[in-house]
Amino acid sequence: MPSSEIKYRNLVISSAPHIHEGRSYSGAMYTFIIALLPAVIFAISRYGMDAARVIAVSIASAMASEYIIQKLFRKPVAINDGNALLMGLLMAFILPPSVPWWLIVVGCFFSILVGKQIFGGRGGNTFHPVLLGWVTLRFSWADYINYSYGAINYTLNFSVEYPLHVLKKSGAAAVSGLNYLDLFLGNQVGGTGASAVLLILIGGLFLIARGVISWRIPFSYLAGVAATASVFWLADSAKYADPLFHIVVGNVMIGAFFFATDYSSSPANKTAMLIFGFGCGLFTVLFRILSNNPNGVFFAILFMNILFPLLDKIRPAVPGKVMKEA
Amino acid sequence: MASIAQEFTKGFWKEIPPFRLVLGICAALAVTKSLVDGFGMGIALIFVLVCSNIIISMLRKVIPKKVRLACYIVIIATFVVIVELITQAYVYSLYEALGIFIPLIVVNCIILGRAEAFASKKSVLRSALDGLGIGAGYTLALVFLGALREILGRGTLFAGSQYVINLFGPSFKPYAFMVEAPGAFVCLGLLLGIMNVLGD
Amino acid sequence: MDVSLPKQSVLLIKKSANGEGMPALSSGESIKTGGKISDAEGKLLAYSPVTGTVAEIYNLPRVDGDFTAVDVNTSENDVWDENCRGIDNYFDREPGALVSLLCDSGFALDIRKDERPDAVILNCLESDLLVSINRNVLAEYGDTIRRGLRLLKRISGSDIVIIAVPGDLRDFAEKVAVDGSERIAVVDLLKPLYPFGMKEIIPRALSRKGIRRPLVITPEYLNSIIVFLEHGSPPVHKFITLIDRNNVRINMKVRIGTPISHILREGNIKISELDKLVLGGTMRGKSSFHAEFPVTADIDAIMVQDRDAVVTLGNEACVNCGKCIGVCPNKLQPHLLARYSEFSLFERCRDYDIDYCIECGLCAYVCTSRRALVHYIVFAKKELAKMAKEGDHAIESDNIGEGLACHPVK
Ligand code: SF4
Ligand code: SF4
Repeated sequence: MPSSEIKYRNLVISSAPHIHEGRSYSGAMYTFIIALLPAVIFAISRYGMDAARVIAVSIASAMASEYIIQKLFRKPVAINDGNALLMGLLMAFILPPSVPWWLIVVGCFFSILVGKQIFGGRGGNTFHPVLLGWVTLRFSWADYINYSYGAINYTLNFSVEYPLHVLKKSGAAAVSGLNYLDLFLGNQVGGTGASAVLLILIGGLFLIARGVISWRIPFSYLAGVAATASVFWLADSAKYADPLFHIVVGNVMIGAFFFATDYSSSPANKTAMLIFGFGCGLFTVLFRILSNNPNGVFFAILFMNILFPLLDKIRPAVPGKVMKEA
Repeated sequence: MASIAQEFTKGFWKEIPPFRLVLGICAALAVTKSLVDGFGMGIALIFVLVCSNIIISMLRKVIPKKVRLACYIVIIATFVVIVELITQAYVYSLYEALGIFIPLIVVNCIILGRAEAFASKKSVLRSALDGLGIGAGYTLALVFLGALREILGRGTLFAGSQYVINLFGPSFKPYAFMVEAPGAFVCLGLLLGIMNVLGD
Repeated sequence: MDVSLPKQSVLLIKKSANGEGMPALSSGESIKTGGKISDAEGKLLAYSPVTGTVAEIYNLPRVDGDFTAVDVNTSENDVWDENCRGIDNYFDREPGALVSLLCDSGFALDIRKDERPDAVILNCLESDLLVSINRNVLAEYGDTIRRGLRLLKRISGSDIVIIAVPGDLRDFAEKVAVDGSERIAVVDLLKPLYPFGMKEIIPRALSRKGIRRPLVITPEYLNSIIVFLEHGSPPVHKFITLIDRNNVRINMKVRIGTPISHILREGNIKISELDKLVLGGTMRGKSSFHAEFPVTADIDAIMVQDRDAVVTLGNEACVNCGKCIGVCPNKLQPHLLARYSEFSLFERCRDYDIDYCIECGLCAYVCTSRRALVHYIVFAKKELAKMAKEGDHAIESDNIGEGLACHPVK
């Protein structure tokens, strides 16, 4: 029957495949957020309304920034994809609970504008937006985001001295008295949510179990930290702290599971992921030991973010090609 | 051929150096910690640019093609030394603030660029006006960049002169990131982007 | 289930780019089953699958190219064309001559003199998800296929003949593999996973390693070669899987040329607005504008997808999550290929081995951003082919077997 006589029924035309696994980007983002929820509860129970305030302001300003910038750039507004929400939450997690509200707003706005939208929005950011925002805060208001200063106002059943500062100032002997299990359970000063090391770890494992992130980056990160710290520790155990200490304090957990695994600023190939994670771990410890800024995690991740496009060039051989050329 | 007036005004928008030609970026990033520093740098550059443009334009028939760059550099360097000595003598605080970037005017690509692309081909008057326009545009850009960074990063205006204005009062906590080097890059990048949106 | 002969059949002939593919037929002319259909210059285009009179000849674009369609009013009793005769003693012919004979008759058989295959693999895995025709094929054509394996073993000159089957077809495969007391092939059990059934992948999935240049063939295609050699015309029937909107599957034996609308009617499936009609399985099938296309030999399944089940793949930005890399059976970089294609950097696609993409669809199936990755890749491949053609003025390759609608070209 010639085309003119064919009864067209407005069928849908599309390219193959005709099914999809069912995941979506916003689904992944909300899974990230769910993985962070236990730590949110922990933070609110420990720091009370202050933590709730930091988290609320942070999320609100991140989402508002996203909305405003997308309107300004005449892009489709996509604040409900969960990414801005996640960025806000992560920003709140790494700031101490005592920070003033304007600092959070500036940090979030910078993160979203320069960290994310300038690079092209979703999928374009070369650096982790939140870490970029955090760096500007660190440059400008180092005292406000210092974990120890922030913790003075609370009655806590542990020392308000940031363990890494102690290590820097007084050497390994000063931290050898610390109970690592205690630190691991979250009894240390640190970011609003990031100090809940155990809960962050559980959240991260949940992400891996859900298939949202690959195990490669976080575990090679931890391996990198452990390996590098071991080298120093074995060389001089009186001066340098042991690897376990380096893993349980100072944002390593949240860095490994939630910051280094950011899709757009981490490699996509498997070998590259391993190198990326290990490099993050290596530089974390190097920054902590060799620089006078003990907060190595974020700088290490930012540094590896620069390298990731290069690392992604390491790709597996194409099997068919090998077969034909051999 | 562009009118004489256009030779002058093009430097303010159409060919404003850091934003349109993306020249002279190195100094633009380094000396715009405050408005006054930016302004001083701009003035120094105007002086060198105008004088060297005039001399090169005058000598354009004399300078042999093959060694022209060396000749330009000698001429430019002469004026740079003059500027350096003058600032050292009369505005020492500015000399301190600009530091190495005054001697580095010699290799500033705006000056060499104008010499090569303009002064070596056009008449003396046009070259002088071109130098003045481009230099003024550059100064404008530096002042703007410096003001922006100073306001955000220090909360003041005209810092480094007698007329310091404290914009937000003593309780203001400046966004010190903006006066750091990365802040300069971010600022310049954002301005470049805005210019691209506005321009054309 | 057997589908009845429709009142009107459609013969589909692929057009080549330079306009060839016009059969020398006119309305009212009668054709017989198995008869050759050629163009004005005598070039073989197809074999008729039915007996009847030609009603109309017209253009029919399909998603994968332009076709000439010939409507045939079918008559109930099949009359076989009298010129349709098998080849005597084909088994004893010289291998080279036999291969070129098959090629001239439109079969694509990848045996070259200089590079003999080192194994023959009978690929009994399904070509796509939800397709399930091979049980019927092996059950019905077992004897022919056994003869075919013998023939292939002889003309390929290789000792290794492997029947790759999923576990549930093992008994059928064993029957095919053994001829009396002599065993002609080994049976290799594979998990029925996609995309093992693709000819590029299956050599890697086998338990025997080190096969470099296998001759991979599906049972249905092998059957049609033997039927052609013995009777002078390829088979007129095709097994297909009809998949309805609840993924309930029926296997059908259909006369080639039967319009899909007829099959849907017999299978009791209604199709309405905004549904999707897919020729093929879920991962690789081509969606269709309407239901008047005929069944051709390259269609293994017909799928009707409900409007609510239709997935939309678009051009949201890639977020570099790496899911697509993880699943690509050829370890390509689908995200980069699609990005380069999106921004017309086709040369870069070639640097990233786009030629090795087998269009399995897995990357787009898992993509976090739901990008239409395969679409981009296919587009880039087409553009590259176009560029190559413009570049050295290559004549369009005379790809034997492509024009013949009656043959299962795989
Ligand atoms: S379709 Fe995608 S997954 Fe399949 S081979 Fe091509 S690039 Fe790889
Ligand atoms: S799965 Fe999709 S979003 Fe993820 S890397 Fe591949 S193309 Fe990009």
